Parts: sequence; structure tokens; C-alpha cells
Amino acid sequence: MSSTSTPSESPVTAGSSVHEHAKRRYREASLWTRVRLHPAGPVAIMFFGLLAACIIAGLVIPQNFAFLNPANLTLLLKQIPNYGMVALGVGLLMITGEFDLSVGSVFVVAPFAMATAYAADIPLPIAILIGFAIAALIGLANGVITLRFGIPSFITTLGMLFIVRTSAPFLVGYARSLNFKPPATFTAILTGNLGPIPAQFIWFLVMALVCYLILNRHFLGNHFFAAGGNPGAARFAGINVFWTKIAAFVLSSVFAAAAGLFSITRLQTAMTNPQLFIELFAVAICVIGGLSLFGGRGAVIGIVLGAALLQLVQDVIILARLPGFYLDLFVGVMIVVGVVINQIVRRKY
Amino acid sequence: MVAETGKAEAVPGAPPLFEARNISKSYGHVNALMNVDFHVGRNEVVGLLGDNGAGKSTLIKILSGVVIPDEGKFFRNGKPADISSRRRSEAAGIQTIYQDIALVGSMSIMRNIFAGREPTNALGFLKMRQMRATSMDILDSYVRIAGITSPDLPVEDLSGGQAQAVAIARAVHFKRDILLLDEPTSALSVRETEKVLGIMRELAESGVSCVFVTHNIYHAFRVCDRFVVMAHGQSVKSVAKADTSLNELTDLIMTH
Ligand SMILES: Nc1ncnc2c1ncn2[C@@H]1O[C@H](COP(=O)(O)OP(=O)(O)OP(=O)(O)O)[C@@H](O)[C@H]1O
Ligand SMILES: [Mg+2]
Repeated sequence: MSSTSTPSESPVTAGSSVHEHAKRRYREASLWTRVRLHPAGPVAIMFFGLLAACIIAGLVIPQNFAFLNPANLTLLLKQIPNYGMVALGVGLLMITGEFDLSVGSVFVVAPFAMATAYAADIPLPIAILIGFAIAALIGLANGVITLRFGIPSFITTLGMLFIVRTSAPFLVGYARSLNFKPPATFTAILTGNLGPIPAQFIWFLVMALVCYLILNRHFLGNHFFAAGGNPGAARFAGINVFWTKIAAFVLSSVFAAAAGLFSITRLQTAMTNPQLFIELFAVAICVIGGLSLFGGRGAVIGIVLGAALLQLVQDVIILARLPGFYLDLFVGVMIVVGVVINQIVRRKY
Repeated sequence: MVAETGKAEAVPGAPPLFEARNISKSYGHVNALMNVDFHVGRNEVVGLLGDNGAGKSTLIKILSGVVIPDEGKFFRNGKPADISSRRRSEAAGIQTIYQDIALVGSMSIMRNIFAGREPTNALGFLKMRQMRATSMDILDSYVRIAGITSPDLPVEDLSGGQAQAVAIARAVHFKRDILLLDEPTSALSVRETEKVLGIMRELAESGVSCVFVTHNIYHAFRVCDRFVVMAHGQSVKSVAKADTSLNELTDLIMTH
């Protein structure tokens, strides 16, 4: 027959001895290959570069630039989770090739629901679950509407951003605030300090680790990447793209609710007025962190570093007594620079 | 029977391994398939031939469960079979190499190989070590393509032929009863093409039937036991290799 394979290496009946041969032939990718292919490379360079500059400036001119002041560092760590937690969920969804702008409203409304339920003497765990359930339903609605009707999720969730934003004021009145005073241990566990390190920051790292495990070590993550990278191929491989994306929409919403819970716990108050631009900062963090706007590409460490870089720039602006709008300028520049660098790195190495 | 191509269609009268009856599928005004009957016997390689746009890939995708026909019935060993999704078709024993390769460029070779069929523990976490070892074996066994040094490389960094080889290796590894190959050698070198042709023969003899879509009639004539010629969404002829010749087949394809 036409086969060129000798009996000993018959491909169809290949036995276990093959593995030894395979191990000699193929190896894990080299460190350089991994670094070069890693989507978080550019943001890591930007973050650690700026961090080094801040440390040097803090050492050289401590009286003008109090970066290394422990109070400043603690504050910095406290700020990172704010947008960071929202960005984690948005990032997971972005990897499946979809957007979620409604997180800005879920961040406000889901925790407000928790506070309302708690104020009505519903036990705290159940009150929190109610808030998460509402968030999950919003995520589900985002996903079903987007996928069933083939609408860009950018549009669906932009609509949802406005709808959800008005829902709480609609029900309870605009600019209402509500005390949220859970037991002190609860507050301490979520927003206390562990030595000089704010608990929120530790929780943020825990959530990032969970995201990493989902994305890189769980079959769901494999489906996320496939559904975002090439939905057709994913479907041909037997992956249910619809439910994969729905799961990501729900996760995104739930992460925003979790971020909101940390916020109301820290402030001991839940408010109905919107926190503007959280959703855009979340997307910005993801893009700066090296996630592709088209899906299928990205790493959790990029989101973490993106969130950290954003707050680091914020901190520099405050310490250097620059006008606040410099932050927006920097974010804008970093988004564009980040995307361009990612594009260059992917095309040529 | 032709000695060279083995023992197709063992028991006369017995139901075929897989059968599709009366398949119709239209896209808007385009009738991609009209009342097509098609079957695959045991131990056989079926050549699916026909002009561009004849409906070959549409039929392959229907059998693979990724396109749902407007009409049609399926039978496995004579019993009704459900292939209304990729997973169900896979459960019915069907594996496919698609014409457009169908790999995710941004994912590694390893993650592509296991996409949709990840080995996991009870909690759904991936068995990474097993995945890596198996994917190295898969790359090593079926198509030792030049230039692939690691299963961790992203597929988008591969050449067209290398990517096609990965798709072939993946499907051959997970094959069960039937392997559908839609122009599997279109991007391959001569050497690799020979290998794939050889694999098809070996598979047929070891009990895995193949459906081989190709425009290369010489390749088809070398490995197929039977030919099905399609034209304009219809199956116009099914003929055993013993009962035809290269010239007759060429005429059949050209005149329809
Ligand atoms: N998703 C689709 N949407 C619309 N029309 C389609 C679609 N898929 C296939 N067709 C049409 O159905 C017909 C059959 O296409 P098919 O891909 O099955 O042909 P083929 O025999 O595989 O051709 P080739 O040899 O060029 O691969 C063509 O006219 C094609 O344009
Ligand atoms: Mg085709």
C-alpha cells in the first residue's frame, strides 16, 4: 500500500513505547517562548518600570515624593482592589469575546439590594445571596439577549448599564443612602488589616487566583479561550459556545457585585447614586493588561498588573500634586500604548 | 473484491455501519443538499468526490453533527441514530477533520487537541500532566511534522500544513468507528500526504471506516474502496472500485 510507515511505528497501533520517543522530541516551551507569548508582558514592563522609578524617587527625594511612606503604600494596596475586582470578571468575559458595561451599575445596585435586605432583618448570608442572585440574573439576561438575538454585547450591556442604574432609584428614590452595619468581625474580615496589608487586597489576590484556576487549570477556562478565540472551531470541537459565554456573563456580573459588597462594607453605607466610569476603567485595565478586545487572548496576571498600574499612576499624581485629570490622560495613553505594544509583540518577536 | 483495498461490505444484506437517508439542507435559496442518501460500510474507505460547491462539506458537517439538516434520517447498524449535535455525533462514533481545519489560533496545540474533551478530575480541573504527555504522543504518532517542537506553541504560529497535521492527529487519535476527512491533505507536503493516505488504509483494516473528501482523484483511487460522486447537491453515483476506472470516474465528475 501507499503507506510509508514501517510496522514498528505504525501510527494507528502506536503503543506505549512511543511516549519515550515523544519526550525526546517534544519539550515544554522554553522560558523565553513563554515570556514572549505572554499577553501580560507589556503591562509587566510598564508596571515594574514605573514602580522602580517610584522607589528611586521615593529614596532620593522622600520629602517631596513620599512614596515609601508606609501609609502611602497601605493606601495604594487598599485602592487596587476597587477597580481590580470588577476588572477580573470583565476580563474573564472579554476572553470569551464579549463585553460587559453593565458592571458599573451592578456594582451599585446588587450591594444596595444586600443592604436593603439586611436592613429588613434578613440574615446577613441570605441578604448577600439575594444581592448575588440579582447580579447573576442581570448577567444571565445580558448573555441570553446578546446570544439569542445576535446583538453585540457592547450594546446589550450598555443598555443594561442604564436600565440597572435607574432601577434602584426607581424603587427607593434617587440619591438614597442606607446604613450597612454588619457584625464587626464581618467588616474586619473583608476590609480590616492584616498587619500593614489591607484585607481587601488579600481578597483581591484570592479572587485573582480563583480566576487563574478557572482560566488556566479548569476545563471551563479552556472553553472560554476557545469560544473567544474561534467560536466556529469551538463549536466544531463540541463546545457549547452559548452556555460557555452565559457562564462568563454571569461570572462578570457576580464579580462586580462582590466588588460592590467590599465597597459598602468599607464605607458602612450603600448608595443608589451611580459610581461613574467603573465599567470603563474595568475595560481599560483589561486592555492595558494585554487582553484582546476580540477575545481568546489574555491572562489574569495582566489584569492584576493593569489594576495595580492604574492605581500606581493615580498615586504618583497625588504625591506629585498634579491635577487629577492627569489620571485620565495617562489611562488614555496607556490604553493606546498597551494595545499597540501587544499588536507589535504578536506580529514580530 | 480488489485485493489491494481489502474487504469492504462484508455481509451482503446486513445494515451498513452508518446510513443517512433523504438528507436535505438549504441555505436560503441555495439547495446545498437535496434528498441525498449516503452510507458507510464496515472496513471501507469511501471517496466523496465532486465539483466545488457540490455539497460534500455540507454532508460531512451534517454527519459530524455541526450542521442540522432540514430533513433526513440517520441509522447506525440499522437502528435510528441521533447526531443532532457534535457531542451526539461523537457519541455515535464519528470524528471529523474539517476542511477549514477548525483550530483556535490563540490557543496552544495541547489545548486545541483537548478542546471540548478535556480530561478532568471530579471538580472539572484539568489533568495537565496527562494532557501534555498525551499531546506529545499524539504529535509523535500520526504526523511527525517538521518544525513542531512543543505542544505549548500557539496554533497561529504554525504553518498551514503544520496546523492541518495537528487537526489530523487530533481526529485520528480520538477516532472511534468512523473518521470523516474533508480535504485533509490540501496543505500537506508529499511525504505527509502519503502518510495520511496510509493511515486511512490502516484504519479501514483495523475497523475504522473513513469518508475521504478530495479533489485529487489519483489519491482517491489509491485508497478508496468505493466512490460517491456528488453534483449540485445530489448524490449522482455510488460505485465500487472494482466496477470502475480512473477514466470513468473522471468523466463522471466532469460531466455532472
Ligand atoms: N453556511 C453557509 N451559508 C450559505 N451557503 C452555504 C453555506 N455552506 C455551504 N453553502 C453553499 O452550499 C453549497 C455546497 O457547499 P459545500 O461547502 O458543501 O461544497 P463542497 O462540495 O464542499 O465544495 P468544495 O469542494 O469547494 O469544498 C455551496 O453552493 C455553498 O455556497
Ligand atoms: Mg468542501
